[in-house]
Amino acid sequence: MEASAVTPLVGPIRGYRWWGVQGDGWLFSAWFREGRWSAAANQAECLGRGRWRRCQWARRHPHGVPGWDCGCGFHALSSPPSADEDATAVWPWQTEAGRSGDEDLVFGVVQGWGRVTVGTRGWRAQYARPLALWVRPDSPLAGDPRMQSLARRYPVPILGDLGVLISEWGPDARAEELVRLAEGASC
Amino acid sequence: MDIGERIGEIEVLPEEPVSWPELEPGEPVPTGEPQPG
Repeated sequence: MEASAVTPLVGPIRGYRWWGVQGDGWLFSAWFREGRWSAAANQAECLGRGRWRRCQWARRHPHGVPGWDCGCGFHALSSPPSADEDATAVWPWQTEAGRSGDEDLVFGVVQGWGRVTVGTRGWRAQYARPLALWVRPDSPLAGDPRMQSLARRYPVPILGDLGVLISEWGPDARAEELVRLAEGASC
Repeated sequence: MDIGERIGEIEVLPEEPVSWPELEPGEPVPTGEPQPG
C-alpha cells in the first residue's frame, strides 16, 4: 500500500502492551530485551534501517517510521491477551494479561501518537509513552525492590487490579474512530 | 507484536488544538506579545 494521504485524529490513542522491568526500574521492550523506555515521549526507530540497503528501507518506509511494509513502531493491542490465547501462545505478547508480575514482565496501557499504522488487533505508532501499569498483587515482582524503582522512574498509576486498568485506562470509544479513520485512509 | 491485518495509516496529533477566540471584523489578532502602554 502506498499510504500517501494520512487522516488526522486529535488526541493520543491507547492500547495494551507488555514491558520488561530492569533491575534499576527502567522499562524495556519485552521482546527485544533492550531499549529503555522514557516516562515521556519515546520515538520509534526501525531496527531494519541498518540491515537493509538504503533504497530497500526507503521503499518500505516512504513516510518514515512506522513503515507500512515493516514491523517497526511501538506496538499495542486493542484488547488484553486472554487465557485462551495464552494456552496456545506462539509469541510472547500473547501471554495472558493476568500473568503480569511473573518474572520481569509488566502489563499496561500505552499511549501512542504521530504516524500510526492501524491493524485489526492493534496499532504501531511513531511515538509512545507508558500511561498506566498493573502488577498482580501476589506476583513475585509485586514485592520486589524493582517496583519501588519503577514507581520512581515513571509517574504513572501502578495498579493492583486488572479490571481497573481496563475500565479506567484502556482504549475508549475513540478506538472505533481510529479504525474508521484508518479504513477511510486505506485506499 | 502482531497487530493483525493492516487497515490503514493515520496521523494522531498529541493534544487538543489550541482554541482561539472569535474576533470581530477589524479586531486585532492576539499575538501573546506584551502590548505597549
